[in-house]
Amino acid sequence: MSVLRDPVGAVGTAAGTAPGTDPSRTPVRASLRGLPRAVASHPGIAAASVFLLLLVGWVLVPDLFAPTDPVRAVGPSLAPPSGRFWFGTDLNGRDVYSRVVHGARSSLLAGLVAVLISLVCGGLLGMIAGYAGGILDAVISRAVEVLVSIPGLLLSLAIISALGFGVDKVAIAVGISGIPGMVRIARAETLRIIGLPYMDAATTSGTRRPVAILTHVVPNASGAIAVVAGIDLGGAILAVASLSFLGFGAVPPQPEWGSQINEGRTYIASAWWWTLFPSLVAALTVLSVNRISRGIGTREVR
Amino acid sequence: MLRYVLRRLGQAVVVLWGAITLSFVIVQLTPGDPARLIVMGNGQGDAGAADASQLAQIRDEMGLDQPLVLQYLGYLRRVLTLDWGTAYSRQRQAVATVIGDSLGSTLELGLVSLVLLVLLGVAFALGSVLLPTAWARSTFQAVTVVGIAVPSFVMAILLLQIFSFRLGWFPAFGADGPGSIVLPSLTIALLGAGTLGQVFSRSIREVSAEGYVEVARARGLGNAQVVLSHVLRNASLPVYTIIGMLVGGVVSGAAIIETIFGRPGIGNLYVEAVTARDFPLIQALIVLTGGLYVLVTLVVDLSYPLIDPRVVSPAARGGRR
Amino acid sequence: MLTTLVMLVAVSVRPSAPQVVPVSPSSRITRRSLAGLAALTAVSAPLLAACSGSSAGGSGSADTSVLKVGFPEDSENYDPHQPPYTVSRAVARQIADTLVDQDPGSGKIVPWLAESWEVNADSSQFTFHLRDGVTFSDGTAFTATSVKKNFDRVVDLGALAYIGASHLRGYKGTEVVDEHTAKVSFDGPNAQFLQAATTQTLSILADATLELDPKEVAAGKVIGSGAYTLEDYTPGKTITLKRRDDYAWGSSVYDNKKAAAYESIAISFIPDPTTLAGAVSSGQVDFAFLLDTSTLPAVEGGQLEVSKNPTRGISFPLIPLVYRPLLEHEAVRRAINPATDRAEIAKRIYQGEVEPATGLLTASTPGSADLSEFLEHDPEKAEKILEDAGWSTVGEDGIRTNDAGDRLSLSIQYTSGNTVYEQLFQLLQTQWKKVGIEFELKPVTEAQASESGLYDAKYDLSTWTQGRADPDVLRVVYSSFYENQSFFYGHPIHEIDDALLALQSTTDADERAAASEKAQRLLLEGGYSFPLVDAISVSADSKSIRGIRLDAENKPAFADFAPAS
Repeated sequence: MSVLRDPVGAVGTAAGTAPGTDPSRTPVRASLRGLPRAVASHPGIAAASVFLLLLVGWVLVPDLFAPTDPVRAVGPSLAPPSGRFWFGTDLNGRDVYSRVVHGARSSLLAGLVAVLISLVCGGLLGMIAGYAGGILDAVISRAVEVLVSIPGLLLSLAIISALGFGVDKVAIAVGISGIPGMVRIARAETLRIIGLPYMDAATTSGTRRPVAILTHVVPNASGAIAVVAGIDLGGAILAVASLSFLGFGAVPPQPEWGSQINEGRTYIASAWWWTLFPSLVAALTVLSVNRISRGIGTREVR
Repeated sequence: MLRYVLRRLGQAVVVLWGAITLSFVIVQLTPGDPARLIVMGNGQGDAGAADASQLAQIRDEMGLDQPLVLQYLGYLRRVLTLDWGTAYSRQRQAVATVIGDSLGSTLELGLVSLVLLVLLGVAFALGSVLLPTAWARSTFQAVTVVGIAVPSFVMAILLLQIFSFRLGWFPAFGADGPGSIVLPSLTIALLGAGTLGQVFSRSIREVSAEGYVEVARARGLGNAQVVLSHVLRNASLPVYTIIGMLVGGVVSGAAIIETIFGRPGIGNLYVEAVTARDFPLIQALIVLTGGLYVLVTLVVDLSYPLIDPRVVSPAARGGRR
Repeated sequence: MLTTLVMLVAVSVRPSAPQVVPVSPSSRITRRSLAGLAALTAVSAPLLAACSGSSAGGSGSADTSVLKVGFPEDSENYDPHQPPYTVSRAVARQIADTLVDQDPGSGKIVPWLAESWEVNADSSQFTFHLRDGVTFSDGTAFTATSVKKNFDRVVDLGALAYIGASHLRGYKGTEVVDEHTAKVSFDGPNAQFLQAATTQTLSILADATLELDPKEVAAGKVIGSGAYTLEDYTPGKTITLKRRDDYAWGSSVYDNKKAAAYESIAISFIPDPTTLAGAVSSGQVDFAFLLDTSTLPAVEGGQLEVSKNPTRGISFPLIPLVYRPLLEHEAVRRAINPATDRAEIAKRIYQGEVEPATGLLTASTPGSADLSEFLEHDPEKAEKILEDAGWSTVGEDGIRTNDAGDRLSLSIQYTSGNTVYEQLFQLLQTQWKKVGIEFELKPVTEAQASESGLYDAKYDLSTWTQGRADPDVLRVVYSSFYENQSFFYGHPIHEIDDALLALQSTTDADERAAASEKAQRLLLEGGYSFPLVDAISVSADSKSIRGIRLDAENKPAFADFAPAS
């Protein structure tokens, strides 16, 4: 399954990037072993890796990259980009660059948490469904379809209306709406693995089912699932930004990309930098995550 | 074949029932007292002034004090009879009326977007496969990826700013006239087309690697000819399967796009309903979009065998191997 | 008694922005907020607007018989007597007339449906001599009985017409002296009534409308004697007004007293402020009302005529909820005004488009007073007040605590959405932090906001603005008199209540100004309000219109609009 989230719109997509189409037909065959070679032979992947490393730096030590206080006025209002303020300043005279750097933490961590939630819940359910089969499989599969039937953003919004405001709540909502995609992949991978000869050997030799899942399915399926999760991360980051954009995200003055984009929006005619730089960074992030996931997650067919 | 159809119908009914149930559960989990929300809805008074007996009366009328199971059964019954009740906001109009007023514009937007999306997606895919040089192909691919990475709201803001506010080519708001649908549908289509284009081009490449295509190639057919005559049909199968997903994506996209473009529609309505905690409206919209998905996937799945007869065997569709 | 307040509540979460609640100089409060509610966010007219969907017409036609207008929000209630949202009042202005009107320049009360009037010595009886020949759009005649029935209805509507009811507090009745003479009596002085009679809340409607269920009237079934009739209303999208060809009794402030020039007015609701600005700058609408100040750079300097007018009424304030534990301390309240740098707010947040507040009323409001001595930025003074009162321990985070260990942290709840005032609150956060006060923002949805009321809030500060070109607005907002309208209801400050009552007893402008100043001084000395800026009301047009007439509340009067060529 390539589309974990709504391919359009708010909730971005992981799509297209995953290899096959229907997971049961073309399982993801992926491995991290291909990474170094991929980086070497693809400048795009190399650039994406460098950018992601930079982002990791922003998340871990934002002050190193942007020593300016992100929540305090440090210059005139709406100053255009300059040597002093690389991305200009916002209405409150805050440094947009610094807010983007410091905002990376909430934006990216929210995306990561969301993917982790999808991954853990979806992965487990999918493996159980694939391994157990029968009624359990039918129940889980239908439940997944129910979740899929409601457009992701709408589902996230409904969950947020129950949970309330904040980046953490948004992450949970996005994570839940990403569960069905993960269930499908995990289930398909599990089906593929239990079809392999050594699984037969394991079961006939008397290994108990839960043990078999842990010892055989999890390690074998996790590579592919991790790659898909990587791809999903891009979509999750966009989804978080979308919900923030709609006003459910970060509580001011906490910097966050989606809300920054929204804040600056009314001023786009007079202070384009306020909304465009955060947009650009968000887009590059998703692009990089996707490029790398594709690079390691797929075998080039040609 | 008949068995397949019946089984598929049965699944659709189960999923629909699930969506209905989910809509009930979500509302139960959301804080907020419907009686108070109704009283304060739309300036018809205010909750602070509402006295306890008035609230109690509303609760009684709506069955809010009944056990949950009874409330759920009542809800199911109302959904089945298509009785959606009245909205809390919007002057307490009937939910069906409120949705009916918005549905047309969203359907229009959705259909135009889908058509554009498929056209653009196919163009992206063919371009990234058929262009003569590797450099051109990868540039083309990069462009499609941009469609995936740029947040929809950013795309919408930029298109509006440039083509409407600055150049005045298209209306800035509203849903009247053909001009008004261009920018919103283009926004949605651009974003979905990247996804579709990638799925499609990958599928084309995979199919191209299969034996019979090699045979065609060996017979001396050119690349474009091979792709167009031998590959496309099979390669389009996966595209078909994600159409249901794309429909969901268009609805999600509409929630943001309609808000930005000031188009009255289902997406916009849903965002409003959530902020106002207009429970009947939220429920109806969840069931509606869920139903739409079920319907589209059902149609796609049922027509699938016409394209790829292998599908009828359950094993080919993700059954156990 | 009173009139208008407007409170604003903010509204939504739409991506767009601000939402709104506009306030106009006139008045309104949204009840949800006050009453039920909560978050008060306030609003200034210029700032906001909000609401639901919209739609529109095609762009740029050369048809001069239709005026295309963009309004921010659909207020969803078009009964002029009911809650006075600015947008509702702007529509009411076109379809219904009032007994008297107010000259926006001088603030004087001038004739409209009443040609003249007398007020008795203690301002408790008002006798109106009505114009002859006025008809409602259903053909029925306007008479003294119409006046009586309308005022009676406003009182009967009770909570539904809470603003109107406050204008008419103490209403004893209207006596129909003869067909063209009506005498309105109150059980005591009601000096503000004459100005109140200029507001749309006391519009005169036809009998047929008065007999309807108020919900039907709210849904747009309104018949008045105005220059336009309400032809069609599609909630969330459009309102169409149609000209009355036989109209001949325009307000005495209008240039055109006869039928309007434009045959119809097509109003579209465009809640997103950027889009509203874009609609007028791209020519899709000819006139945009209640533009957000943040969009000024986008509309100025191009092909548009932009009008920026100071609002009349309450200066945009934060108001302490005095029953909250921290705000029971006088020192905390008194420290906030000197900790606040209004000039920086005006310069940064409003890009210099508005003036810092000089008192509790905007400078252009009749009866305002220059009390800027209380509103100077003096952080040392603020710190000293706090130190002296025992808030002397400054923590590592820069926030003060007192000996009892209480942290000096105040919060405000507001309806989410990235709006100008959310930017403003963030600026206050940094300003107040410099003196050791923490300011916490709590964005919520509209529905969450409704969960607590003005008198049982879980936050400390509230904000609203309310417009009215009369100092009486102070009495409504800053007294303890009216539940859900007065901030200190249930927690009376007797000295201030007494000072505000003096506003009611005389119609003499100088005496009322003196009463207004005295009350404002008491309020500022006690730290009972933190006025920030005098908001402006912004509208823009495509220069295809001449004779743009804005009333005392800056609402357009389309009867006076005409094509430029």
